[in-house]
Amino acid sequence: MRKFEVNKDSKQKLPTKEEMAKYKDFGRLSHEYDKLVKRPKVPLYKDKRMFLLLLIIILLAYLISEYA
Amino acid sequence: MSLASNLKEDRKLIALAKKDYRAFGLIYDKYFERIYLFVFKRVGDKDIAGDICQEAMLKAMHNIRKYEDRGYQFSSWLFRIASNEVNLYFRKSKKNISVSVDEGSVQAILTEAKEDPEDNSRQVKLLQLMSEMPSEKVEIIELRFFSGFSFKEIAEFYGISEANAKMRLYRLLDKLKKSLTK
Repeated sequence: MRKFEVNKDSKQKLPTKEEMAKYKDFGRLSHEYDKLVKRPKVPLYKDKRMFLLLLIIILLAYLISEYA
Repeated sequence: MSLASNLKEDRKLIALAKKDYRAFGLIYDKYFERIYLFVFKRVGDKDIAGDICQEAMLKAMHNIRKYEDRGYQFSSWLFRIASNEVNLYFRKSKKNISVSVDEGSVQAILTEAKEDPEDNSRQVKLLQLMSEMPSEKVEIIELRFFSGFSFKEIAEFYGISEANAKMRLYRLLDKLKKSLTK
């Protein structure tokens, strides 16, 4: 929750250009963007857990089709 | 830079960023400080403003392809994204965050609401009422009195007419005035 308070002493001190520059980082933004949009590096079939899951699904599908 | 040449330059930058996301860096360079200050005025903390600004820029970069030019300033689209991030931050935040507001801005709100701007108890009550309101509702007051937006800029921010922006603000001020006099 936000609580507004009156500042009677002086004008709100705004960050300087140097202070703002500390937060300005397009390299980091690009990296975060890549993480957001790029496909995972490990393909599905090379991920052990996913591969096992896929195998179980295929096996179950086979068993259902055989015994249904 | 004139308004028309700024629009023209922005159109060029947007077209580049739509083709290649790395070109968004030019938009980032041009607008980072304005967006950062806008967020800072609303959250009152440099680090939090930095995080929110970065998140807003990430969303803008991700959605730049969907951006439609409606003849408004491009910055209003960026301010809107940043403001949504600020609102989201306050909705999610569990702790109390104090935001310091210049006395002059509070006095300007009271003057506009036809209340005595020098009355300390009115100032405190006004800020208390605003603190109790959801961030999205009080946003228009912050835009006008804390960030110094003109009605034209507010209208572009919400994608509404200037008359509608004025009506929204004065309705809210009327509501606050009624609560102040209770």
